[in-house]
Amino acid sequence: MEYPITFTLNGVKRSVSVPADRYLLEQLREMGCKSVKRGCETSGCGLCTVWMDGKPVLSCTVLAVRADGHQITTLEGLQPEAKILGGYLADEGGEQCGYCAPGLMMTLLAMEREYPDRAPTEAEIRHYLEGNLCRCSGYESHIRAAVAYFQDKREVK
Amino acid sequence: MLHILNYERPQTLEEAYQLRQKKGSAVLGGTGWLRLGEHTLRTAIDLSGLGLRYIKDEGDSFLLGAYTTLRDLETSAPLNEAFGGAFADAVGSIVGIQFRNCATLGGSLYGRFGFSDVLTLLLALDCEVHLYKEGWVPVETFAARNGEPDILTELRIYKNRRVKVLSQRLNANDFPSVTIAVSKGEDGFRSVIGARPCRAKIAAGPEKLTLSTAPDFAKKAADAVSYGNGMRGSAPYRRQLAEVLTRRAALSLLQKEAE
Amino acid sequence: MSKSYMGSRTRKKDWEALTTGQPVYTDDIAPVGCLVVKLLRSPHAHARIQSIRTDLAMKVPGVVAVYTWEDVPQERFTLAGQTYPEPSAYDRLILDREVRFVGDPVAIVAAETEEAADKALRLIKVQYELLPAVLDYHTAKDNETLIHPEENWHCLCPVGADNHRNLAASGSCEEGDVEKAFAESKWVVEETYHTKACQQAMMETFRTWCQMDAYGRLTVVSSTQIVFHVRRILSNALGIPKSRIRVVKPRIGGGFGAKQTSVSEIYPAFVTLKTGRPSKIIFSRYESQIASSPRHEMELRVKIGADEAGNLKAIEVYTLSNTGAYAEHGPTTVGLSGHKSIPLYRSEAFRFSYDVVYTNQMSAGAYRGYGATQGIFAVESAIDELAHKMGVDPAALRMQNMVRQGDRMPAYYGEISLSNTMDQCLQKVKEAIGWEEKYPRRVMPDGHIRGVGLSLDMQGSGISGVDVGSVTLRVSDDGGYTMLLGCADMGTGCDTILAQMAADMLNCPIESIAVLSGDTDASPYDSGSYASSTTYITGMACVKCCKELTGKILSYGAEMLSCQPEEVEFDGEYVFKTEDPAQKVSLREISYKAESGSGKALEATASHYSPTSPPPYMVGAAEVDIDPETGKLQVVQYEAAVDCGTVVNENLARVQAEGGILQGIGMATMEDVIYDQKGRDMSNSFMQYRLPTKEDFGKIHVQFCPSYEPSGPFGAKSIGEVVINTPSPAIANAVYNAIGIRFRELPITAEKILLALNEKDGK
Repeated sequence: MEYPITFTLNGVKRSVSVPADRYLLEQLREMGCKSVKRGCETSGCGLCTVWMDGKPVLSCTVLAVRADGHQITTLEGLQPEAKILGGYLADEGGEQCGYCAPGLMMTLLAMEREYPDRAPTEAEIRHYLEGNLCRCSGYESHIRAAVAYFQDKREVK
Repeated sequence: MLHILNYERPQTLEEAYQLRQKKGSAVLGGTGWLRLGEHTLRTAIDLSGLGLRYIKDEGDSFLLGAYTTLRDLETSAPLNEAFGGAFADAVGSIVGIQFRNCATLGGSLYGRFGFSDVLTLLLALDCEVHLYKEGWVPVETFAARNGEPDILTELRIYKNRRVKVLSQRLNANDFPSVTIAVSKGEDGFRSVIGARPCRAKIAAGPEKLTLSTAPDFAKKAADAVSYGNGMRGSAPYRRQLAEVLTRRAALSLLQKEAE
Repeated sequence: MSKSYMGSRTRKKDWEALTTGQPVYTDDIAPVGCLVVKLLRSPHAHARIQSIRTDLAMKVPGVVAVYTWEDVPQERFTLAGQTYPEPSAYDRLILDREVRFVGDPVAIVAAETEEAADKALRLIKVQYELLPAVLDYHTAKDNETLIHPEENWHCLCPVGADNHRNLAASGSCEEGDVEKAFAESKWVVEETYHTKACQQAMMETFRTWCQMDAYGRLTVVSSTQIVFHVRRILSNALGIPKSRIRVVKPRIGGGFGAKQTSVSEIYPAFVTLKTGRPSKIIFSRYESQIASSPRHEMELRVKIGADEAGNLKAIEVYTLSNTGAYAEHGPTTVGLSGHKSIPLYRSEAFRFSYDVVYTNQMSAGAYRGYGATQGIFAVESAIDELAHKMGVDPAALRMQNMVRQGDRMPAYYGEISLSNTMDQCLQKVKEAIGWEEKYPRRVMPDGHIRGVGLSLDMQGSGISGVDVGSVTLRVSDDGGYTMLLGCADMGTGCDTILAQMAADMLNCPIESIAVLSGDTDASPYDSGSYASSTTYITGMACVKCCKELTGKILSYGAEMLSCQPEEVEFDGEYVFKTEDPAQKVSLREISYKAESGSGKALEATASHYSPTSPPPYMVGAAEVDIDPETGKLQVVQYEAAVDCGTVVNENLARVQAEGGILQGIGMATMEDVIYDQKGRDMSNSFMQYRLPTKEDFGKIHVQFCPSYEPSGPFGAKSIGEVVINTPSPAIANAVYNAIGIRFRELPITAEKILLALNEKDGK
């Protein structure tokens, strides 16, 4: 059985019908959001991170029916920000294979919104990004990029 | 793989309760662990339309809705101030922010998972679980039962105990090899040991402790529960960890008191 | 005129697409309407298929085909991505009647939807005759149970393989009088070390899609490090000529050697060839964990002798390697366990011998470090054991005996170490970790114990005399260049590194070099990106190619200026007369001229191979923090210094090192492929096979001590693999220094530490 749902995807209202057991990840990829990647099947790698009402969630474990009435954001909807933050990552060579990058970007950009008044500390960044696995980088470049990004952002503010 | 035949989003608790009486029905929590294993749900009941996500300060207690997320527990200032940061400590190693933004308090409780850091913490506190039909049930009673066809609506946590949680994991966000909680109230200390790998249990207490009797208490607590072998540790390893961590948590509470 | 890119921190050419989530990976660009390909896998470690019923599965609506062993070609081949003739035995079929590990494919299902494919998998009925399984690799050699008794098993190279003895390879080599050297040694250690299988665990699992092109050729788009080898493997497996196959690699989500084996390609290729329809296979993470190409489990017996003055006399290594059900990379990985560990030291004599055995476990493959990781764990642990036995500082013993620039390395095929700053690396790492203050141990105020340990390390740069890299450069008509490559950028940044070299050689901005890589129809031949070859081998091809193309540019420019090529120079933008620089013609004009009534192609292709494989060197040091009451181990600081020759791109080299070190820390402390008694892989998800997170270590810090490798491009050697080898021995040595317990088996977990501490304390 399929269920009609309506949700806002990257600012645009979309109505689709989905089976009850389809996960948001498959639905979003089918709707053209190819930035959303699958890395595991056990809710543990962070590659499929998207925002639900502005909060990072694992689209591989959220049922698509539950998007009904909510705001879903993928990296496709944050392109200007992604490019700026991506530049910081690229300045450290930290994107490497890039497969975990969209999930990392989504998590970091969410973190930025959770710290409106100050730049988070390195320890806070490490903890916030704990659920974003990366096998290439050894993470240090991600941390350097994030620290630099938040510092610059804070100075501008 | 998971199969869901029917999806329902009831508008009232009564409606949810009636759906839950159907064979093969289950309430959806955060669905983080739902996809693991091969199973079919005839009716998946989504309570997200019922306003069950809240943390209310009621003076001598907190009232938490079943759909409060683990991330809410982690970031709630009043909750963490009242319990010395124990909620942030207990959930902070669970997978990652994204997971905790979905996983619910009700799901963690109702699942009664052996590995649950949340259940371990709550057993150390004085809490009651509210079931729609049955009413209030002490968390200890609830934790020992299985799969009642009722709707878990909220949890009351009394502010009468101070608590310390500790765990050991193969790596930072793995399931625990052992997770423990020690709390102190007027009646003395209580020890809870979880991830043995079986479900958490009150292991010892209430008992009055001093710095010098805490080690014996930890030993007694560790000896009081059984342990099993698994990928996250052998039984002797788990037992030894349980004792060390219980002692440390008890001492930490005693030392804080002295300060 | 243009800036130099050598040693710069240039961004990767594909950074924007990757960081903004553009659809550039295999599955992102798959055609709509691909058949979904799924595999039924064996639940048994060793069995013979008695019967398979597929009729019920075929009746599922949407199921297009179900193939079994009876449907596939019967010529054996290997999935190892190696240069022909491959040292790995030809022991595979697409589907075999005999299944050799839990997870070995039994049937291929092709369906219109995933749901239909899944349903069909459940409806295939297989009857197995169970066979005894060889699950302990110690018992494999000469076991009465043979893993590959089949007649048409064969090996193309003399690697000491014998299917009637369960041997995928065996052999030995030595130089000097080993017995005499040991007899003359005052100090001798002899110990056995054990490294487990580990998963590369790249974030993008194995995946491939295929379709027939307009000419009736099979187009294969795959996440692979080895497009040309995949073409040959498919030709062997499918029994069709290579000219009918095109293999393309888009961006790939990590490899680390996993994708140097053709793990996923044969299945959709077979389906598309049979059905004529596009098809796609995406390995689940579960499949990527249980039926892939992990590191070879090895047991290494090491014997080292030293004279009274501490000079090493002899090193002997015997390696028993578990290749699993198939031989992929078995004969070659084992070689590195001795040839890249023994030569770290000067010694009078050495002996290295090995057996590589088949078992009923998942086939191993190529994983970064490729046997050197295992060998260096053993030898660098043994060196520490020797130092402790002698009562000397292990750092000093290393400084005294390490291989130096100019030394001949007998155990490294007699090559001379022409570029080597390992002594400086050791000095730098000792300072950075604070060796003098921290060695061997410190008890912290909280009761935790901290210890420091270190390790030397080397790898190679390509496979000497075998690996080939090629580069084609074309001048495009606006004066820019197109660079065609056959190597595989798997995130490492080699597309960028080679473009940096070309930009320096051609004196132009890197933006003027457009890169296209990894397409067997368009790229010049390249063995592929593995064995730490791309910067060194393909880099040199790039240098050669640029020289050749520059010659053509000069010659055409001179012609347009009506003079001889010797009379002109090229500054990247203009060809001008040396005598009179005002007489000049732009590259743009030259390229337009070449396109109009010219008959000359303004392009060049150059190939390169190297008779030697200059080792990069490295020293790593770990400081570990151990909670003696819980056994909890944390690497609080990791210091490394790397000699990779000239650093081509500082960012990319640093991230290679940091990433390799963290993989090494994972291997040393948590990663473990665990089988149950029935041969089932229990480490079958990221829940059970743990990868390090951002909170699992303190700090990783990397420095460079560049040497200049005369045979390398701009003096460069490799860096991709050498970086994974130091953590295991450095951490094991640090743990010993902290608590006096020697761990000779990986991973070193809290549980093992606590149980060992109990034993030590007599608990």
